[in-house]
Amino acid sequence: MDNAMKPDLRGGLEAALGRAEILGKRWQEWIHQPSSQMEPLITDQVSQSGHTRADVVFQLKHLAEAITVESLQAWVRQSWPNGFAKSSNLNESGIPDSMLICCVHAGNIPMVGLQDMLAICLAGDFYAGKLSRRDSALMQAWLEYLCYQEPKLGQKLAWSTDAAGLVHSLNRPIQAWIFTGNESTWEMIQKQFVVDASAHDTPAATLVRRAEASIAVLDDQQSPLHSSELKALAEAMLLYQGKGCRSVGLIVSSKPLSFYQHSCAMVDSMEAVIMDSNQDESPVSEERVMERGWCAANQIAHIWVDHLLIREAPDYVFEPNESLFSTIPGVVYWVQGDRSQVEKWFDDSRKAAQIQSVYSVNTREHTSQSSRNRAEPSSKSRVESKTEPLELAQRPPIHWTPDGENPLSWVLNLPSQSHES
Amino acid sequence: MTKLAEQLLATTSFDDAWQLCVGEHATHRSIAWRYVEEMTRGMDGFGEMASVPLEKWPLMSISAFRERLMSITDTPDMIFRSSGTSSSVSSQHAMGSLALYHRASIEGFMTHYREAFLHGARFIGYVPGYIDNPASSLLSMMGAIVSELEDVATMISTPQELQITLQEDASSPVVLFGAAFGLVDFVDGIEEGMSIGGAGESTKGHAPMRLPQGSIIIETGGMKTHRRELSRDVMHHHLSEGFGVPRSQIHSEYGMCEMTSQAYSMDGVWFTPTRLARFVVKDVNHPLQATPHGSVGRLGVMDAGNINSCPWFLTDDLAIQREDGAIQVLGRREKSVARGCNYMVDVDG
Repeated sequence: MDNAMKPDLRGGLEAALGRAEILGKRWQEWIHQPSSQMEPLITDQVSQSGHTRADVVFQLKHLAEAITVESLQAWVRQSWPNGFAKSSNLNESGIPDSMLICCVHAGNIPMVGLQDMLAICLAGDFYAGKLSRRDSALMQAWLEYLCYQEPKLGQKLAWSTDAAGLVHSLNRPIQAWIFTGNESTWEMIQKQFVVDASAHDTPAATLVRRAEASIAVLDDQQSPLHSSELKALAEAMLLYQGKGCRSVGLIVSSKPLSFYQHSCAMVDSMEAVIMDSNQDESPVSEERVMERGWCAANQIAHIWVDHLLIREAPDYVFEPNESLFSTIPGVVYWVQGDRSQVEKWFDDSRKAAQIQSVYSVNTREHTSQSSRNRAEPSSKSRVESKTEPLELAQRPPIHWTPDGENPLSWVLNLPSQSHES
Repeated sequence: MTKLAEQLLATTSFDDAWQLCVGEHATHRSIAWRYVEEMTRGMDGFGEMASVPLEKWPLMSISAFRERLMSITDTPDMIFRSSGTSSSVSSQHAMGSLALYHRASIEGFMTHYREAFLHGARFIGYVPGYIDNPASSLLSMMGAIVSELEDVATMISTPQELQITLQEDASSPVVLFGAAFGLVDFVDGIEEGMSIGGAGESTKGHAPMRLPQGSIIIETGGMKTHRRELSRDVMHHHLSEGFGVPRSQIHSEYGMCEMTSQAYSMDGVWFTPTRLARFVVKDVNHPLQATPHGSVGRLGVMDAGNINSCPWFLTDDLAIQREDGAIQVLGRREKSVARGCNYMVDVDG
């Protein structure tokens, strides 16, 4: 394929597959640059994000495997709407106009906005990225590389760590927004971007991510977890200091935490991940220390390894309107129960919205249950639709669905869409 | 009143009250005390806790009041419960001696306002909505002040009653003490045309009300659950205009279910704690470390009045502290920012 993007690639599935080929190829080139190119970027990323070098490298290694021409094309095929033949607004050159979509990225894990950026590019739309100052070094370098190598594509890319600067660089209104946050975030974004919502006849489309963390359901009724399962659990809790929405923030187990409290195997697996991810070099969160002190003073069962506290959940997590997760990253709640407990939480829409994924340590069981119950519109099936193998917690495929929403599908289905089949 | 409560109230300085409070917790190895033991284990300089500088104390998160009922006595006189905001589980505060709470509240209030009553002021405690929460500490405090002031004081729970009471005596100055949202609603009601001038006379479009000269309004904060959120500055301006009271006569009180003591602000900005309490301000990201004076941090409370529960805790409010110990409260810290998709995006500027 020619390096320069052809105008006719902007319409239809074939065009999207062509964009997937370009993006996958350029991504592989960029991520496999010599270490002399990548090391300074990693150093900058570490200094601005507070993540460990090992965390950043882990993410890059994972993304190198997850983002390929094949995986992007598969994602496009999977996301392409059936019977997709919407009318397009054509510009003066007879080319469908693209949507201008602004992403306000969080900075909780390295390159957290990459999936949204790729989704918008694959759809042929215009990406305007407000990068987090905690997560800009790698994203900026990747975007610059892409612009340099693919100037046509680069015409549809704009980014900045400064909202006002980004708005200034755009010469047309933003038509859709993707951002993470809570109820007050949209108001804040409107202020930052000087968006006057009342000035638009139709409000801009928004995709808001709200999920806070994920749940691991341990199948430990018959026998304690294997060492590989313990390692996967430790990784799911500890990587990125527990700040990812795919990070495990709550464990449901058939056993009380006291069963594992004196288990060398569990502590060893956590210590090993802490050492491997260099978390031992990070300062220990004082809020977490306070939480440990509280547990000790109250004889609440807990496991403490400096960079992680697992504790019996407070009773109030079972109450409506209460968060399932601690507000302190690296504090994981433990609930004795089984999948039926998770199903109860999914009956509560506010609680369900907090949960990104439910991890099972038994993949085979999860898969078969998913297929068996797909037709049931129940909390049970909702749990199963969100269930993934634990080992994928920090290794999601490119087509994973934050908050249960495939961002590529969302972009492709935006109203007044420009894509053609 | 228990002997311990009497002893506490008989102290003449915060230091003496603090010594007594720390001693009580150490003797009973309360939850709060065991927490301090855990947090200072193996650390130098924490041998004699009562003499440890306040800014070095390891504070317990205020969320502790939601998770456990902390009480040295098995039979507290009263369990105060916070009014619910977005959470369904309220804080609960075991008051070992209700008389202590009442005397401490009255003492704190009268320290600032005794003069007004000597000059003939009336007291109106305005607590709309609180009647439904008999475990409200604010309601209990208002009741204590009304009992103390006897026939020059009244407690009111509806805007209609407040309107009538204010009309009944238009000459004596008033100390009107109430939750901010209730006072704002009352003013809004006047602006929207609620009759206050008698016989169907609407005040809409007029200077809505002018309380007698020398009147004081004390708001207790608490706009978070209101239908609109106002900054303290805007709210005070609104109350000043609405009640026809000079801005200098709009005061504030800072208190909460988890505290026995209160703090008052006579200028609407800086709060001074009452005799039994002190404030500290901790680093937002390192809550075991104190911040320098003038820096924004998380507000910590050291309340010797909490002799039965937890005297040292860290609130979710942001504050700045002056060298004289007074604090400016800047609002609630956003807690849901630390993880997952809920991780807050950057704030510019």
